Amino acid sequence: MELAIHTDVSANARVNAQGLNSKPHKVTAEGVNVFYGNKQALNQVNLDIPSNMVTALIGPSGCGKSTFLRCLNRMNDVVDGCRVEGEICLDGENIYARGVDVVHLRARVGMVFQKPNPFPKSIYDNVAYGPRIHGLAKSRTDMDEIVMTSLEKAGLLDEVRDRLDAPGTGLSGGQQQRLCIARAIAVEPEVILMDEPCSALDPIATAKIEELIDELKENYTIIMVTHSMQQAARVSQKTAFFHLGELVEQGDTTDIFTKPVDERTKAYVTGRIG
Amino acid sequence: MSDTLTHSERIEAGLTKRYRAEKRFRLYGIAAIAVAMAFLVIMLAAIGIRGIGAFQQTEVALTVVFDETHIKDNNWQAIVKESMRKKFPEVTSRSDKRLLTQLMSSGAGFNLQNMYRADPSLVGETRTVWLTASDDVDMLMKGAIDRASPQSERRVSDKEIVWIDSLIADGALELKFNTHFFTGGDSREPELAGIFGAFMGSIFSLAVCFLLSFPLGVMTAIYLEEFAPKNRWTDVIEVNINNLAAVPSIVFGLLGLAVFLNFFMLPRSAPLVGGMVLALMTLPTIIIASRAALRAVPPSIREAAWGMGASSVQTVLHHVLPLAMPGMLTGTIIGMAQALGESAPLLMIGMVAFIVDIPGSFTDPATALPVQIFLWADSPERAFTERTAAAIIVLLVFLVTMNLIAVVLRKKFERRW
Amino acid sequence: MYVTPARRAQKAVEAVIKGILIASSTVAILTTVGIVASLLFESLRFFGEVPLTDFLFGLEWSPQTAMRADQVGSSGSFGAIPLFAGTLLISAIALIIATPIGLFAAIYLAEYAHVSVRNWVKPILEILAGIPTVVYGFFAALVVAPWLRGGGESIGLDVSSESALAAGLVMGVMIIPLISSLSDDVINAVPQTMRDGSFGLGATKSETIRNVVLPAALPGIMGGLLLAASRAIGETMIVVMAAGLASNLTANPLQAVTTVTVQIVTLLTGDQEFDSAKTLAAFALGLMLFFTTLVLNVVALHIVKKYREQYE
Repeated sequence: MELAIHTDVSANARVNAQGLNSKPHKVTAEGVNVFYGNKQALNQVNLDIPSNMVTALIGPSGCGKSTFLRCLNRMNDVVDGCRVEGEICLDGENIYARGVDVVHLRARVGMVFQKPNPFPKSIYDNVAYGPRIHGLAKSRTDMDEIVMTSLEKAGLLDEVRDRLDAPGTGLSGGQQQRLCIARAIAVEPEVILMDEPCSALDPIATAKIEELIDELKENYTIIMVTHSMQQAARVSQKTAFFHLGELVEQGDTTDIFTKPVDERTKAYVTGRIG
Repeated sequence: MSDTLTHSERIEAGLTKRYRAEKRFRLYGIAAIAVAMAFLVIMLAAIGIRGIGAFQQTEVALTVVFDETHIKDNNWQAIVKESMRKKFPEVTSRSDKRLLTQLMSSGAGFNLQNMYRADPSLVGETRTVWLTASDDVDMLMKGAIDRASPQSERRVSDKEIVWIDSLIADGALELKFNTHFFTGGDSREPELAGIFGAFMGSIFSLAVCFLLSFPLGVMTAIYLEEFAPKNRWTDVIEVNINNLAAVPSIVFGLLGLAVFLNFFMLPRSAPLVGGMVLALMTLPTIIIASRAALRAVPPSIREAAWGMGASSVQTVLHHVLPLAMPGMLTGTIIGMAQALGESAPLLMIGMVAFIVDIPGSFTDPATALPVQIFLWADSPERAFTERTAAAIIVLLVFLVTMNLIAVVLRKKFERRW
Repeated sequence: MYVTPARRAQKAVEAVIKGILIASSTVAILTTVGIVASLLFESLRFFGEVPLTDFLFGLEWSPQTAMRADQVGSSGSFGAIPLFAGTLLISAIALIIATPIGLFAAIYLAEYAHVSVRNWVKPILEILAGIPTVVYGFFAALVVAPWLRGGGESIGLDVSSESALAAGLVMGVMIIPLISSLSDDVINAVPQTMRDGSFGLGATKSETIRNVVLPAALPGIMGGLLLAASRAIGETMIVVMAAGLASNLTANPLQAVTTVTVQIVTLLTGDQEFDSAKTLAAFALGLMLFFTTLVLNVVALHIVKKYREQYE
């Protein structure tokens, strides 16, 4: 674990050296309000998310961090009575604008869920599912390659190479979650949303996923909701702290954990509220 | 970045097709529901249109003389005959006279007999009374016989139509509310056939069914839910009940025939046996509903009673059962509604006989409403089709009422713990 | 603590009450025992007169000849294959009609329909399940059969007035609610996270349903279909009123066929002495019917139960 923090800090240092603020933000949210029926779940959230980094969303349960995450690929669309106000832009384009296609959006913004949720299909078909529905593979060999690379990138290939036809539900929890990551990668998204991806896993499986997330940020922008402050510290470069539907504080992970500005942030990261 | 672009374009390219597939899929769902609903509507409409006419019956106003000799001979139809001839004095030939009397139902005499029974002082008096017309006249009046079709193809001749028209012109032939349909027993003559006999048969059968299946079902449910240990034997009972619920109803009829009739020598065609067979059939429904009702009573109620020192039997009888009763009754009403609509097992135990008399006890030969429908549906006369459909309407009204009561009961006692 | 006489009396009463409860719960068992015993007993008597193989594999069904005891071949022909074939034909037609309609209705109600629509449509579909089968029989015989006959005539097809199609079609409508409500249950039991996983990859709703929800729900749906098949095979009134009486070994849905249940009813209604092979044959048919539906039910209930446990 210490090693992870180590790389993490060095990565931060490197990014800072490159001049992080000069780079355009991958995702920007401005004045986001979310309502479930009459209840307001998010209040005036403004947050910019940089490319090729891991951004952690932290905060106590019910603070709205998952709600915000689900706004980023419009997963809230399927929830009855959910209303989103404000502007969320992906590469400068408002994803809630008229004429934006949800299907296309979700192909660009992939998602990994809290509980591993492989489909009741073979490992191969789980990974091939996305490319297949989007028509991304031109041939069988094309598809084989996509599946293999995705499994490889998710660090699962060596474990499942000889049983690609076995059902995905037969894997262990950690393997299932990496399968879900492979499944998301196969569509070649630009952003990957992760909703507490390790909360259902044991420490060893968690360590593997965290390592994987660290590797993935080379190619993807990762936004992760986590309950564990240690995890946020280990894998993220940017952290945003939510409390009671408000974005309280955001900044470099090291800053949020070592010198928080807001009293509530301080209370949370030191374990007094949670 | 150009790689991402082609990737994005590829997704874009497939979208139209995918959304079309989406729309189509959704449409299949709507179409499926529409087809099912359309079928329901068509079926109910077809039955309604065919059956509504039977609630009216053509009657003829005749001036009859309660002739003493005819009354003594018990020849009531002769009185009808004479008054018809008086009405049409111009009819002289024998065959025409016969045709003329055939305009009236053979049951018209019974109407007179009933009047006399109610008031014997009518002897020798002259009265104008409305009497039942024959089914052919009735069908003509209701438009089921086409006047425009050639004479050879219809059951009412041109002559008869002339007489009928003159009666209509006199205001002496009208469609009136068909009381007899609701008060009469079965008959070979459609215009005299009523559903009351079948209705009483159904009532008697259902009464037996209820008296057996309700206590048995509730007691079984109480045993299984509250007292039974979890062992092999109760597993067997449980699996057995679930399977019994899916046994074809006709098999229950075979059981009734072999056991109740042939082994215990109970009377054939009796509502008693019908009710017993129906009870065995509805038992699983009632047990399953009653168990669900018992399970819905929270354990805290039982714990409270036990805490007060009540025995488990007292707990169930005093505290759990009253709370579960509405749910049990709802399930029972639904079970009874099923039993009311059931006919196949009743065919097996002989409740398909032609029975004119209204059954007066549990052992009198009887039919039941759905069996009556089955019997009438088989009859060739046009007028019986109308009555079959009308009997279906009556049966459906009963079923709807029973189900509504169940719904209301459920709504009223619905409790969230 | 000592036990008062009143307390002892109460205990005795409670023991009696429990005894009564146990006794009543055995009625359900006794019913099954009674069904099996009576069917087996009468069937054995039947198979004493007619060889089992003749019954199971015979191609000719004409029990009428059994009436004439003095004649050659007085035992009649009791080859039940045409009845099994007829039953299968009508049940197959019913399932072919009910499966897509019931399944698509369930999919729409579970995945697409707004709650208010669902609250209206579901009870209306349930009405179809509550209508007595004799009503369906009437509708099949007096409305649908003439329509089919007329429709067939107008395009030059010879449709029997007691065609398997009319009975099967109406029976199909009868089992729509059975299939739709069972499918609805199993579709709702598929966890939402699985759908989310698919939506998260950019799948449309129908893609999610076809590729994820239905495969996950398939075992449960199959269980429901087996129950529906059992229901169709055991259905009596529709076929008695709308299907034919004469045995006819054909796969043509436009012709008249007869079924197991129709023959049971014909053999046992009307006056005949109870010991003839003719009446006993009805019990042999009943035994076949009971056995078949029992196997279907047991398998179906087992599948559905396994399926529920999987997602609990």
